[in-house]
Amino acid sequence: MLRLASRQAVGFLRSATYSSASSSPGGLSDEMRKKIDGIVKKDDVVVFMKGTQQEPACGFSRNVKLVLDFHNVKFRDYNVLTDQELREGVKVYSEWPTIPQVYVKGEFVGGCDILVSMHKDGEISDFLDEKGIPNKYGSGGSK
Amino acid sequence: MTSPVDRVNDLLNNAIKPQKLNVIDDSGGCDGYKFRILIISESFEGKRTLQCHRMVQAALAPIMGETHALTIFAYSPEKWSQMTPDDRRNAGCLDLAQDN
Repeated sequence: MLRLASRQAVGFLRSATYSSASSSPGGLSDEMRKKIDGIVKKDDVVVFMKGTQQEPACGFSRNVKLVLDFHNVKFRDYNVLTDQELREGVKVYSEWPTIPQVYVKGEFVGGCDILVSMHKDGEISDFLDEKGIPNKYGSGGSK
Repeated sequence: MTSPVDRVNDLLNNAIKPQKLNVIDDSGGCDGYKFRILIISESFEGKRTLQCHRMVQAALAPIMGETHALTIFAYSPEKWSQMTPDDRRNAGCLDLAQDN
């Protein structure tokens, strides 16, 4: 049974956002862009999150991990709490103001809301199948 | 003085002209806003969820600097009308669904 973190548990979203006080307002250095390009292409499923998949530090990040775990999807996690430049960089790169951020085969899929709704709608298995990602409930999934 | 919820309502009403909009301020004393938003609009018809969420975020750009978290439920009127109360509860937006 998949139990998602309740909203009440999310009390610690410090600077989770699209901050106007960010160090590179609107800009992304070539170096950071290349770094993120490399990251999202290196592994099939990548999650920029707060904390790690072993120890998520935020309810939204934890929910993404729970959904992916439920579907037996292996993913590479990047903890933005230990890398402030990466944290701001992915927001500009993805044009998405919050963390977590999920990439599948180099393509931005969305954050927690989208992953959770894809899981609840049942469309996540088809999506993963289409992308060639082995998953528990898909038709080509691994056992 | 406009409340944060009023600001969100204004921004979304102007940018998206939704058929239905319900915004809850979930900030609970955090130093930054946290909103839960239910928005039904014909302009979401035929668009992927990601696109719809991006539209909402773009509309809220002026307030994003002060916002810590957003939870967005964005549906076309057709999709919304197909959702039963159980579907809405399952999606996590039943509390936002009361008709006003």
